[in-house]
Amino acid sequence: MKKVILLVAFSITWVFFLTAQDSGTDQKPVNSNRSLLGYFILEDSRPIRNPYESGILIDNQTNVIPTAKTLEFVIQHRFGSLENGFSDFLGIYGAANTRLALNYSITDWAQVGFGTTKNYKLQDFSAKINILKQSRDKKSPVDVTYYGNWAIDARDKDFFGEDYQFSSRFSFFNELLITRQFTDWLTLSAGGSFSHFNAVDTLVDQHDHDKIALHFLGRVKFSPQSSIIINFDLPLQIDGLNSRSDLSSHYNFGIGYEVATATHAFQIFAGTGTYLVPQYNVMKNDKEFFKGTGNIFLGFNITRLWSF
Amino acid sequence: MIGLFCAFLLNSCQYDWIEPVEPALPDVVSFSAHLLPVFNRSCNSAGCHATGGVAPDLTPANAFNDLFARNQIDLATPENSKLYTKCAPGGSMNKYCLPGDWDIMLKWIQQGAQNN
Repeated sequence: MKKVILLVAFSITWVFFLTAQDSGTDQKPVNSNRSLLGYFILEDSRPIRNPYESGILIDNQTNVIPTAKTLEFVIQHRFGSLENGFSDFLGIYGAANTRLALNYSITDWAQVGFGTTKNYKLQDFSAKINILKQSRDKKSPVDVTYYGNWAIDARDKDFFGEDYQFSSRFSFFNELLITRQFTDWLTLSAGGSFSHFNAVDTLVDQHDHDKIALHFLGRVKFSPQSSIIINFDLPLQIDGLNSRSDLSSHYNFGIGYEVATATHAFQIFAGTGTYLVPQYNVMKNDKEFFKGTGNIFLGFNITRLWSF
Repeated sequence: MIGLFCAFLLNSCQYDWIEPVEPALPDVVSFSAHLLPVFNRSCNSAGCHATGGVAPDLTPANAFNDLFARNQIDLATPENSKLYTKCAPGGSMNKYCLPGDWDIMLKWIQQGAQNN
């Protein structure tokens, strides 16, 4: 069962990736729906404007892919927890985590990226595909987006036990996200993901190899540039998927404020996710937002776009 | 190339368990020989538990005094020492420690937490 899920997930990723590359030089139809299936079934439908301001929303990916040949620079930062109050200035002087990433839009609906993260020295490669875009004429009521990544834990090999293999460093994340912009000021998304870790430390890690999770995102825009943003991840305990029954999962919640211009988005928020790479938040998060200030972390995301 | 990359990824999924390698504990744990290398490797090098950074200051010049000044050591109940609980599995700093680091810390506290 696990192998089948993995096979399907990877097939989807790379078939789309290949298709994206092949059609990158094709002439784009005028007024086309800028998504993978939009080229075929919604040729005359124009997509809505981006329902989110950036490709990332707190700890999750959104459906947004900048137009073709655009480079997106992403800075993600999480401070320490609020536990120590003002003695470490709400965690700003505390242990922090940072991720820097570059994403490039191959076409209007396919993006690839690379990121590097402080904790676990993670190096991640990602792909995002807009399978379908919500259209203005309502032929397509929703956006459907795939996001997948492959992360490599680059810490010292002593962390991987006596039977060290390079592949023990790998973890994977595959997500399908459905987004709908209900009004100009309200956008909601729901998605499902499958995370996989090749190797799990029996002493240190409080998780199994695989995890299915649900993801919910939302944006309430209250001025031309400003929005309230919300993010909720719910890892599921599925008996058939886990070989360890002694483990529990914890939801990840974040809420914040976003201000954006045409080429920038700045988000500041409070949340529980500090790992910055989605499969690590799904698997390793042991914080719950409403269980004390030790579980809440301030953070920010910045995105900057350059078109070529 | 991409096809090869796909094949590589498809064959990359494994279900391995890492059994931690725990180094043999020395008979007498030395603060300078056994704990300071851990602090230098995992705690103070990125500026976190460095002078002017997050307490406790775990730089070689200040670590010993600051651990006591900030109540990180519980000689009466070594297992409750914050130095140990933060680094041990389940502790918030565990991800920065290597397996065995917390055992060295615990044994050092059990042996009286000397500045040796």
